[in-house]
Amino acid sequence: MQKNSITGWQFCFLTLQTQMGMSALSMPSLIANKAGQDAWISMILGGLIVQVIILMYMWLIVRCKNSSYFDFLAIVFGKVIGKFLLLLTILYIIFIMILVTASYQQLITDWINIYTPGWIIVLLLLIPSLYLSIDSISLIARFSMLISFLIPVLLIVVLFVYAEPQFFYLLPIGSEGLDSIIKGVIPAIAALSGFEMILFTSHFLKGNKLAGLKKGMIGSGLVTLIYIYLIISVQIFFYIDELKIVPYPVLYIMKALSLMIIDRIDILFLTFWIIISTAVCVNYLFVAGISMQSLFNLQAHRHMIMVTITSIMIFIGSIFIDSKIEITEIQNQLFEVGVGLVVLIPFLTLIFSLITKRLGNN
Amino acid sequence: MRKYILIILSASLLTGCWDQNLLKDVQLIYTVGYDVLEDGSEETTSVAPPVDEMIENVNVLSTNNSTVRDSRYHLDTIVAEHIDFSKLQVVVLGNELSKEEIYPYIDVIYRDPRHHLNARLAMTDTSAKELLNQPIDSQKNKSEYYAGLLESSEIINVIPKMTLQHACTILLDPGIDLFIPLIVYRDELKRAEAVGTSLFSKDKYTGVYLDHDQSTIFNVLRNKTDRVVRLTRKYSEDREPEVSNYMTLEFKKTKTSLELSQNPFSLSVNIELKGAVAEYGPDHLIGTKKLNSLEAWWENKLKEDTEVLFTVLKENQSDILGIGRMTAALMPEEWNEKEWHEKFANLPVKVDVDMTITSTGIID
Amino acid sequence: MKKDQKRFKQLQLIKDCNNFNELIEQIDYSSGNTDDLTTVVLDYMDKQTVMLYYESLIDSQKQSNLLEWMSEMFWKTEELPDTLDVKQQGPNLSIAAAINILLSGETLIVFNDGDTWTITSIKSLKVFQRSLQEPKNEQIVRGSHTGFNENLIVNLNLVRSRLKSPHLVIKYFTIGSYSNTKGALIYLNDIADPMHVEEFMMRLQAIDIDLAFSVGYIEEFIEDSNYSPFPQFLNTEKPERTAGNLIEGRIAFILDGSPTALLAPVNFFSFYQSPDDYNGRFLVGTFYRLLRIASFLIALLLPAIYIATISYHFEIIPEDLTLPAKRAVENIPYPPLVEALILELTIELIREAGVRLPNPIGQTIGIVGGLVIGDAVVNAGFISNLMVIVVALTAISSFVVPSVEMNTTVRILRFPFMLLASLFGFIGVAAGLIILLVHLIKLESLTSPYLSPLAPFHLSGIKDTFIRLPASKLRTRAADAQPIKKNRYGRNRWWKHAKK
Repeated sequence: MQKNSITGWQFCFLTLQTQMGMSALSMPSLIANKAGQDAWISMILGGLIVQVIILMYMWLIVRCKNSSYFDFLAIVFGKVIGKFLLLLTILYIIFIMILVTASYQQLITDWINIYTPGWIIVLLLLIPSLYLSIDSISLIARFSMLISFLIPVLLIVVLFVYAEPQFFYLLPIGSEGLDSIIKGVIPAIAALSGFEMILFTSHFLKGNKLAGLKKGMIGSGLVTLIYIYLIISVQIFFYIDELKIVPYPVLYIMKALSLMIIDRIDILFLTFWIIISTAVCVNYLFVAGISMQSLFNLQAHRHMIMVTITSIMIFIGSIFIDSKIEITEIQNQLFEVGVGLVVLIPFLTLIFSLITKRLGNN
Repeated sequence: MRKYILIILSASLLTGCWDQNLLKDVQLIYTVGYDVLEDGSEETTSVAPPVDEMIENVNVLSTNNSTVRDSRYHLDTIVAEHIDFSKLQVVVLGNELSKEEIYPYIDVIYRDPRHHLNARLAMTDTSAKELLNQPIDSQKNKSEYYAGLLESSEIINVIPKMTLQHACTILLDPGIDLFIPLIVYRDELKRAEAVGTSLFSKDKYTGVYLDHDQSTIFNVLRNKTDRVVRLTRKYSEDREPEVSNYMTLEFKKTKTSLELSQNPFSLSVNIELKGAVAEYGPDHLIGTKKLNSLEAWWENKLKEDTEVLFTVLKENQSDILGIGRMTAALMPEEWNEKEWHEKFANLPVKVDVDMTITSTGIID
Repeated sequence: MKKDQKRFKQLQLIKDCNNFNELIEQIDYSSGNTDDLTTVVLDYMDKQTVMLYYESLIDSQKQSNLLEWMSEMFWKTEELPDTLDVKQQGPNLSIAAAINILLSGETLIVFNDGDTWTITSIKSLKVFQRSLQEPKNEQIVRGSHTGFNENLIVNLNLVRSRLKSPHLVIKYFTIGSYSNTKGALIYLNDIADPMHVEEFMMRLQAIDIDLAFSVGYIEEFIEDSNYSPFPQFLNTEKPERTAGNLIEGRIAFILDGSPTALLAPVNFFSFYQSPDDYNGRFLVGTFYRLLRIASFLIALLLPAIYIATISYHFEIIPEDLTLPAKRAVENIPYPPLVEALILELTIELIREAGVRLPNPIGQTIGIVGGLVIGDAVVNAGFISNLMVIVVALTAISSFVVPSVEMNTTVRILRFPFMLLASLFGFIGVAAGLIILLVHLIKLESLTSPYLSPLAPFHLSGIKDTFIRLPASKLRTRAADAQPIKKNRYGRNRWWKHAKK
């Protein structure tokens, strides 16, 4: 039992890693494309909305008691509808994983390994992820916590921007108009996706559940803060028109840096970043495994098979996507569906469980 | 079974390495020059460092094609190794090219992930090919010469530092105009010289450049001074020998604040300098009275020079200080992207100089 | 049928024998008529006695004294000399038990007084043992230079004399159906986690082998993962290091015939700690701890990073170093991986040869190999001088770790990294690093996490792993061994504040 539970802080870093690894490098451009130079305001708003969603999750999780969210769906809606909603959630997880691997592959082939076939790079991501995700949640949480030591590296490297900051690029505040800012909130929330990990893994929390959930909220809040810091940093470095055409602004900043002992820290940094991307992959693979277990009512030891099947599916899926344009398209379309699934379904579940007064198992 | 494993292993060993790019198989290019020819085609001149330490021979290669990319591929067909621009140190733009829009020519550098963006950007008064083919009477090999030349000039503030990354930001920003160091070849010295800062309006060269003194003031104005700012002016007329008419001041600390005000829309410049007398032949300078008059004289002189500098900028519609960017940020109602250059040309500027001379060096 | 007969005979009791001849015949038969089983029959008047012993096990000096006594004095007093270690055996001693007694190095004296058999055993085992020397592979600058030797009792003595506490518990085990080697499990029963003790005992009892060859061999039967390249038990030949680990709540196992203690549960960082760290100033200790961790990374990754840099990402070489680097590799015929493999294997060969050869020759080989080959390959244009620097640095770094097993692990592990680097560049190295990290996270030493205190993360564990705080600040035990008693000691140096 000890092996299948996580502490509050581990939960915090599990959430943090899942959110961070998704889109920290590309997120500033995506938001700036919509919100212009007020991208950072959109990020703040997006972060606040995510916190509200997490509050809603917390209420739901308290009602879940000791059941997992996946099992709770069937408890609230009954077998048929519950399983159907669960299937939708699993499809969402698989889709988002395909997206993660495809954009990871895109990043690597854009930046350092230009001629290496995409499937090799996907394998380099999936094999280590699979190796970890077949194991228990506690090991996965330990991994997430361990690699969080890499995040300060990102923050410190970006600090170089403040040697010659152009704060004028942030002014005048709100010049893009409320309309643009709200449009920017959508990619901001998309960049923060991964917070659903709170919902999916909460039943592993040991001890005081509410305290653990609060730590998860702190993790998500930290990501928002880091993102705001990153957006402001790239905004005072690039003129907004330049930011819109630079796909990975954080890497671009590093590319322009030259230190005495090493040139081109972006390449070295990307090497570390691969490790963080792996964490996302591991976490989603694991969640895919447990949700499929719940779908097919399988024993715990089938987890390994489920995860392996998922990763093969993702591998096949991701090699079909091979251009940046496709990724952006999928990202835009998937996002609305995703919001529907990770916000609407839990919301409906909460309402339904309140009406029917159904609670999870103890 | 073992046979298959062996086959797979050796296959992966042999076919792997898609991106392999061995250091020994590349021809590094340290300095590159871009020119535009009369028929509109592009010419790339690359300077590669000598690989053998014993040989001082530097490869200077020129290729001429319709685009920068093409010229680059063309280079590959005339050298034994694979051309590599990832360690580029200096990009020199030819005079003719600078008079056109320059962004299309350096776009390739931003788009290629292997480039590093810390390379310096400079221009020359002739064609880049001509400059790079000139003999340089220097112990350093020519491929690294231009980077060193620019770097040492930056330290004494006679030219601004302009990297590719910075240039890109400026080129895309309508609120500031490009400025890059100008390199001129001196036949009598058999060397090149960084003579000052060339002024661009939008991304076209105006044909005017700031000399060393003006460039120094420009660096002071944008608060980007490296180490010591050194200014020399003729202080008196009648002394013998001629050298004792001049006084040199060194400033360790300079601070400029630019302020915009409305009704009427104008700019006020406030320069604060703290420095010491570095060279002045004749006089004992100790004594507050003398120092006060000295300060007053210098303040006046600098004010005049700064005003002249602004006149030059306004005449050429070259907003290299980024006043437009300031306006857009602080007074968005005055900002109009299309009419900015005309507005800048008519911008009233008020200059204030506040100088403190704190010491007279280690002699009185 | 024959087997049954033998079995029957072994179970036969000595007292059931009719006479001495039958007894001797029985024992001789049961021990396979071995030639070193010596039988001395002494006659005096009508009394008869027989002495049995393995001459290969006993102390010949003691034995000749005993014989002298037996032939002269015994008949007068019918008593054995009280200076000897005499033990009376019960009358119901079977043949098989008697042989076991003989095998443990005792002399059996059987005395027949008509009907009754009196059986006495005298301890006369001779153990040839090394004097206590400083272990060669764990040399330290300051502190105790004593090391274990091959004798279990001596080793136990060395440990118990350092921990004179009633809480120090020693449990004996006999391992090996042929060797019957004695081993001892040592732990402090108020600190070590009983779960770990139980687990360790269970694993030891589960061993079913013929020859308990050495501790290193036993380790393979009790470790958590056989296929991991990392050692999961800490080997040490130093009694003070053993004592230090026991006090942290770890459990030690010593086998007779091996000068080594096995310690578990340990974490990865235990292998990078040396007793020297505690003997010097804490700042120095901290510095060397960090240096050793850095040496791990260098030994593991430096050749891989070099290969990846030279063959994939030479952009990262700083401006002023690019040309010298290019000049160095310009005329090398082989790809960097082959170049590195040639040199790495050369170094491994030199090392292996140096270990086998006698000491002075070994050193000479090292110098000849290192200097002459190194210089020659560079001059021949075979290998670049940068590669020589990299490989030499790697080799030195791999020898920094104060544990032989970890040292070999690191040296083996760098080869896959080199391969990955030459196949995919930095992302290959990164993928390899992730797999390594995941493996370390998954690995357990006696069911406790191997990468503690990093995963699971304990801030308090950092104070004695990466760094070493002053001893008076190390008031709690490291969490990775899950000790029952968390506090080590009370407040020290209170006088520092009391003076005010």
